[in-house]
Amino acid sequence: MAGIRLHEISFTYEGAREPTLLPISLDINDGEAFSLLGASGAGKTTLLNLLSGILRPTKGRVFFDDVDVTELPGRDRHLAQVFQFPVLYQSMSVAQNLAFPLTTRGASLSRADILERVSTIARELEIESILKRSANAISLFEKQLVAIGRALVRPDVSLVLLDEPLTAVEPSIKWRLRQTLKRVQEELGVTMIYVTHDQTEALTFAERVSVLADGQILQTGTPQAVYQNPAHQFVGHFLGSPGMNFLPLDVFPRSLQRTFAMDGDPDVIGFRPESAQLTAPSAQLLVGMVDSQRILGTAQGRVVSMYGLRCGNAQVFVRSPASFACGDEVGIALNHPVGFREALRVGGDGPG
Amino acid sequence: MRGVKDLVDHTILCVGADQSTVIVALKYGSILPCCPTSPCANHAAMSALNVKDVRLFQEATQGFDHGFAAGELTVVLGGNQSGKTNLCRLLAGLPTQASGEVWYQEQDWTPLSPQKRSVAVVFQAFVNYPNWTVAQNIASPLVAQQLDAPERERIVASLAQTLGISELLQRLPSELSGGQQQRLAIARALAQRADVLVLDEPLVNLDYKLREALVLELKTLLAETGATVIYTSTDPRDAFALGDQVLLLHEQSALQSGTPLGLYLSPKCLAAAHLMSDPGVNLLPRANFNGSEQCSAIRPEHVLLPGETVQDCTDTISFHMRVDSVERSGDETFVHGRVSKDGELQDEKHWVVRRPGMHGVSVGQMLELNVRGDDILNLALD
Amino acid sequence: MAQDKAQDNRAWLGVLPVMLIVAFSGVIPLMTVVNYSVQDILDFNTRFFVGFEWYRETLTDPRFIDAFLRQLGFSAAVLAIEIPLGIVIARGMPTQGLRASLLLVLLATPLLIPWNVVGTIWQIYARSDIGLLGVTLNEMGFAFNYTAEPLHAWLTLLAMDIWHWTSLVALLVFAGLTSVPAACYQAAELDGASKWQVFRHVELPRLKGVLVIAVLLRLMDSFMIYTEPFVLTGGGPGNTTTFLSQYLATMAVGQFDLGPAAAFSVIYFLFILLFSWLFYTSVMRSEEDS
Repeated sequence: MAGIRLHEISFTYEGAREPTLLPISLDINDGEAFSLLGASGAGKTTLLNLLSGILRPTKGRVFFDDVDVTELPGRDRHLAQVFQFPVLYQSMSVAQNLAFPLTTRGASLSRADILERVSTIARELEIESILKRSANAISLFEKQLVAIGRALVRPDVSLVLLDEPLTAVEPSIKWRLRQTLKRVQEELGVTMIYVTHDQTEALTFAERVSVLADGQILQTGTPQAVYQNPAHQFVGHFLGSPGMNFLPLDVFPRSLQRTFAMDGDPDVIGFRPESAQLTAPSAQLLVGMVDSQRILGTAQGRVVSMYGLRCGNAQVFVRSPASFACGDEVGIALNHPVGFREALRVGGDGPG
Repeated sequence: MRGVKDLVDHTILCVGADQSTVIVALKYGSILPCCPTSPCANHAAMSALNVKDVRLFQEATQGFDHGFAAGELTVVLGGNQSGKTNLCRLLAGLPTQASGEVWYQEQDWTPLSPQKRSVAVVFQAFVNYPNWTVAQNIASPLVAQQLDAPERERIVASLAQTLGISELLQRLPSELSGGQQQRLAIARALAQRADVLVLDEPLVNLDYKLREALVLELKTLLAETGATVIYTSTDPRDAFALGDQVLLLHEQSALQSGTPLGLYLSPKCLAAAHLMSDPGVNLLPRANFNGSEQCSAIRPEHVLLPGETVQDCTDTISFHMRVDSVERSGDETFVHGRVSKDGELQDEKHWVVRRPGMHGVSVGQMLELNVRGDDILNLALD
Repeated sequence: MAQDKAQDNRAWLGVLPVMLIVAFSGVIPLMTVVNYSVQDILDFNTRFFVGFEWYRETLTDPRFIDAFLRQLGFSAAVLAIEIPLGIVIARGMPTQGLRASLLLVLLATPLLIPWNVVGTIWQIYARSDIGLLGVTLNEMGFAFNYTAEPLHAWLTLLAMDIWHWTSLVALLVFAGLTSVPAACYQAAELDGASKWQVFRHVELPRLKGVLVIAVLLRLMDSFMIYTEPFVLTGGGPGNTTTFLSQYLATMAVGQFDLGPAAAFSVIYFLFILLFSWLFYTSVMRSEEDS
């Protein structure tokens, strides 16, 4: 196990004009569950390949436990990776698959130790019943469990990289695999880095999340922090469905503008669709006109809708149990407004 | 028109149980005067596209009939292997296992080839002509319609504008992102100006952020075409976001149809409730069953966590849950766990609680959950 | 239902041309051969039914048995060399860039040369008086003469076949290798697998399909080899490179023994069928077992 430190690493593909990764520094603690979250093209895979040793950074250093591994090939970094689709040795049994990393490069483990280690991991992942089966003859879900097991089986594994490991798993049972991963991570205390574009996976798995966009880390923090207090407008937009609403300051009534201006002089105010209430319009409130309604279900016997509202030239979404019709003028009371200037978060952390 | 629909939905809420007749009555009563410009308005509640004795799979024993309302969007909701794609292919006249009659207005489409039916299809995979530019792709159905060049260019430009791919007209499909490719496929389908538009899980292969944006655009876009639209999905959110009507498919047959809210409030049976719920509904422990033909269930979003108070209902039921897993999507928290009534362990049920916001629940914890009596669904077992 | 029937019949109509072609090109000639094989034909009007007499005669003919054993030896040698060599070449090939394209063209070249030309090329190339290979070997002190030494004739034939056909195996394996996902190599690398382990556990299981095809193609082709030895050695020296097909041709065309030749053909055909079937089922069975 190891703490990971990336020091000012950047990467430019050969022949490319633009760098894929801008200089990134990041510390991941020993035994931490960490997530890299970003849309496709954000640089997640490049960062992952830099960690696994497939690529060498153009500039900067990579440290595992203060040892500079920048020049080390992947096989000497003692790390393991779980891929999008289960990667197994298809001509072997499940048990042989699990044992394989222990039998390579003259590993010093005895036969008994190997068996012991395989059965420990199998118990941990609850796959003891399929150990004797061929790796070809099990379900996709089980295959991915075995692939995870193979990543964890080496006692000296310093880091496990998970590259969107749930892509191939059926949606309705994804949570089970997520839960297993989280439990195993906690019990074995292995440092894990989970790369995904799915906010639920990142926020559920990780103690801390880094949000990537355009080759940069926009924010690193706890799931609560990145969701509630995004450091960058993109983070607010990317997390949540629909994402955070953003309105220029001049759409708000004067009194509100003055209040907002006192806290870091923002030019844009953001708020989550669920942290606003729709009421009767008034001079003290942000006012919008309902232009779409999408029913979400009911709560406490009342229909809850996602209302699309037009405020000035911008559209915002607010989740509300109140009933309005298209064309209605409504007041929007914000519970947790967040200020931004030039796309960056300004002002205090707000309530919570 | 949306305002009227809201009124319809709210009125059903007041009426309660048997809503189907009410909906029809209200549609005749209120939608007609609202949209006199729409050519289809006069048939608003009449079905334009009828299927008869449909068997979605060869081994199906019993066929079903269904009418798709003219000029409306019907979301066909069903799980994997429920026959959604077979239904689409049947409507379009493509080779499929499914059999049955297809009637459009007074015309029998059953013997017609796909070319002779006024139908356009958007598939789940991004299907475009790979060696034609975006502009040529969109124009391809117009060439078949024998329109002259300036007219073609005008339509291509306007469709590209609507779908936000104007900048890409000279590119090849392989140079587009997934979202752009599917926009192109939709533009090409719209260019056919067909009476019936079939979309078979068109957004399933896209990132969720993109899907979110496209669903909103599609809603307006499809309404403007005036076509009768069939849109298949596995996601009940699509039913709410897009559907004027919803048709539920289960075990290779039609299960129930109605408005999204109608189906949400009064599912006919357990399977229907599951289909209109994401994640599926939670079964109450057997102690709460009313007899053997029925079961009781509660939607994940109707279970209240400790600290949330029940409103507008006098009848509250409590359950104990041992938490197995907690998932956070940011805007919502999903708590998975095992529930028993009054600690009776032999009848544990797996439940999911879906609450807005982030909640500090930890794995292994015991929770006391509250449920409003009014929210409990009494359902026929399948 | 009636409509479904009609559509089904239309489909049969579509298949009909293919069935006719197959019948005229395969089934009918084969049946003619079977018909000949049970008759003694003296001229067009004089023929006797002889039952399995020709089969018995062929199977006990020492020249047939010799040719058969020679044939087995040749096919075994061809497979034993070309398959591993093809795999080695394919694994060593670059996967991208100009070099990869050039290599592919180079590899495909021998496959494009007509068989009788291949025979002629090697006949001249290996001649000990004027051929580049023959003269060089003799200059180096090997008394190489494939027209007199059976071993030399065999080695020349093998070298020719390997030169001609290893590319096919290499190309098939190369195509198979490109379908191995990069993640599989990466996982094996991180697991610390050796080069041999990567081949044995990552590549070989995924090459099974193409290797089955490669082995079947090479087996059938080498079993039926005719043109090249005909041109190169004419079956000699003595009968040492006379393979089944050549013996058959001598019998049917040279001596006009239609009956025995037909019996020979049927036996020949059945052998190839049997080998292919045995090989295929054993591979497929091992697939099911695993």
